[in-house]
Amino acid sequence: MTEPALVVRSLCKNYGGFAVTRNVDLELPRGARHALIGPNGAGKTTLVGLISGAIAANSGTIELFGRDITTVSAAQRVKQGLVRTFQVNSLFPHLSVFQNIFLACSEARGTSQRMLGRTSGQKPIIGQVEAILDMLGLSADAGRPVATIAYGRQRLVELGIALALEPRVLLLDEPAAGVPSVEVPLLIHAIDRLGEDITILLIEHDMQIVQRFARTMTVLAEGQVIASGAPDVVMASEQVRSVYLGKSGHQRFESGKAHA
Amino acid sequence: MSVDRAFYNAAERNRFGLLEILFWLCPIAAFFLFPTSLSFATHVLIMALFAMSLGLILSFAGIVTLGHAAFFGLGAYVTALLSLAGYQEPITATFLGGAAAAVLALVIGPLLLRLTGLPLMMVTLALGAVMFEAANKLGWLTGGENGLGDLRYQPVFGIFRWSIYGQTAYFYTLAWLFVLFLLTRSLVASPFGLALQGIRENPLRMNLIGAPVTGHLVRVYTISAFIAGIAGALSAQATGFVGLDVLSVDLSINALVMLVLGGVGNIYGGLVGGALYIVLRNLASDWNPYHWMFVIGAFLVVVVLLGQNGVIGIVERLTSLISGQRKETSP
Ligand SMILES: Nc1ncnc2c1ncn2[C@@H]1O[C@H](COP(=O)(O)OP(=O)(O)OP(=O)(O)O)[C@@H](O)[C@H]1O
Ligand SMILES: [Mg+2]
Repeated sequence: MTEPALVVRSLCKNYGGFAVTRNVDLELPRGARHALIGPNGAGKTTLVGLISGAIAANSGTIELFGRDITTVSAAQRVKQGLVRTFQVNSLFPHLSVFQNIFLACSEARGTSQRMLGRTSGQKPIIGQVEAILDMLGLSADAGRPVATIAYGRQRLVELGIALALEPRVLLLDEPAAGVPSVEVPLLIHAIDRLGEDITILLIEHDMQIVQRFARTMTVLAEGQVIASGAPDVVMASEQVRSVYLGKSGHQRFESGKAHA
Repeated sequence: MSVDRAFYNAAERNRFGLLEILFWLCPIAAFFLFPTSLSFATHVLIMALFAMSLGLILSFAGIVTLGHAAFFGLGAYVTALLSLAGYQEPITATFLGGAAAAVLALVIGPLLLRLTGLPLMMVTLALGAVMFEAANKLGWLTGGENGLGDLRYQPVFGIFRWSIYGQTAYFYTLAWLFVLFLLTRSLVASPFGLALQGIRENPLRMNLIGAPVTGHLVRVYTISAFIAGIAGALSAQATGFVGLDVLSVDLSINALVMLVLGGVGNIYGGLVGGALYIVLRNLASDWNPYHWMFVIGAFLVVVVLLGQNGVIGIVERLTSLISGQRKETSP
């Protein structure tokens, strides 16, 4: 019963001769609040792609709640509660904000198979969609095509779709990237409010957000894990400081701690 | 004021409004206005139905195919062969024509619909050509270039005889058209219809919200093939003849032209475009049998340049101008 939510073992991915993911091990206990950081091009997004099944790994295994999902399709992984968001929005541009979230709710509950009955008649799902829109402050934009709202607000839709899928393990790829700073608290608040039963992996460059969020963290550089553990220990590591942060980064981290 | 239903699913905008009632009065009026042209009018209805079937997959699921005539043709041949084999009950014969097309779609769909864009267009084009050649070669079955003629069917409901003036064929076709229209309309307004629109917009993301993308596509492709097969079956019954042209690549491409003419994204696009195309072609070829393509082509260019989205787009713009309301840009 207490097996970890997600276990990644010796995961490797090469593009041609170029190793983007090298022997990555990662273990997230249930309810983890785990940050994944690393310089640009470290392979963070690729790792999320591998775990979600959008990219096929060359070798290694992935377990979700003790079940090997290495060969399970991306769609089936979602059905088992493994949900991701995208660093660059991947939405349904001509559909409205409401419809974007509705699609996810409808898919998660099997309603998308329904050929009879109007969309407007699906009361329980409409209620859930409205609750998510409300939580993310998107209600005012509900009827607008997603392509016509500001990019930062589209980021919230991206998160909304993931939440609508009722995740058990949530992989967030830089959710705050591109969100105007005034709306970042809304997003952080939405993530904070997620239940303790949900396991979260967060990729984030902003050290203040990381500091507030993370109970454990992993640092990735050139496709390899160079440190993993409690934030204080990881951030104190000389290797991390030299490879990734530099002095200024560490200062930002410390100041984030002071704010938290 | 209640929320516009289009808020939930743009396809719910189609409701029985005044415009819609007027639209469906047109074929009734045509019956009384052109009593001597009923076989032509029936042909108009059949092409409208065929274009609607293509519109279902193109407008709502984003499936671009150049081989839709395969289903029209299969429906036509099956219904014709049934008649020649002695099975002449009209309603079930029509239905079986559609069912045969649906089975074909169900078989080839899972392979085809993993493709998109240009590769899908090429493969469907090739499949259509193969069907045409097969029908041509299997002369013992299909009559080859001579086709299958003198098809007979029992009276509809045992009452309405297939008369030479074509009243029965006309209303029989109109009834099928209306029923299949209602089916299509409720399909696109359903959660399934919205899921199709999601696939049209972003299939990769649909996959990553856990949707069975290929499964959804196969289902709508099968339904569309069924409708196309019914259209083919009706053409066999209305004319009493099936020739190789029911499988021609021309027919597949014409259906696309009809959609562009009528408007993509609305189930009326196929109906309006199909009817308009056939009527225009007829008028143009009366005027000049060699250069009718020129008229259609010119009309198409004007409609595309004018507009947003075919004749439907132009009408929508006019009505919104008249009612003076500025509306949100529709998908
Ligand atoms: N499809 C691909 N083909 C070839 N190389 C790729 C491909 N996708 C990613 N890469 C390379 O893999 C490396 C890791 O990319 P990735 O996007 O995973 O980094 P990241 O850690 O998410 O970076 P960022 O912080 O900028 O988002 C980069 O060098 C990138 O150029
Ligand atoms: Mg990245």
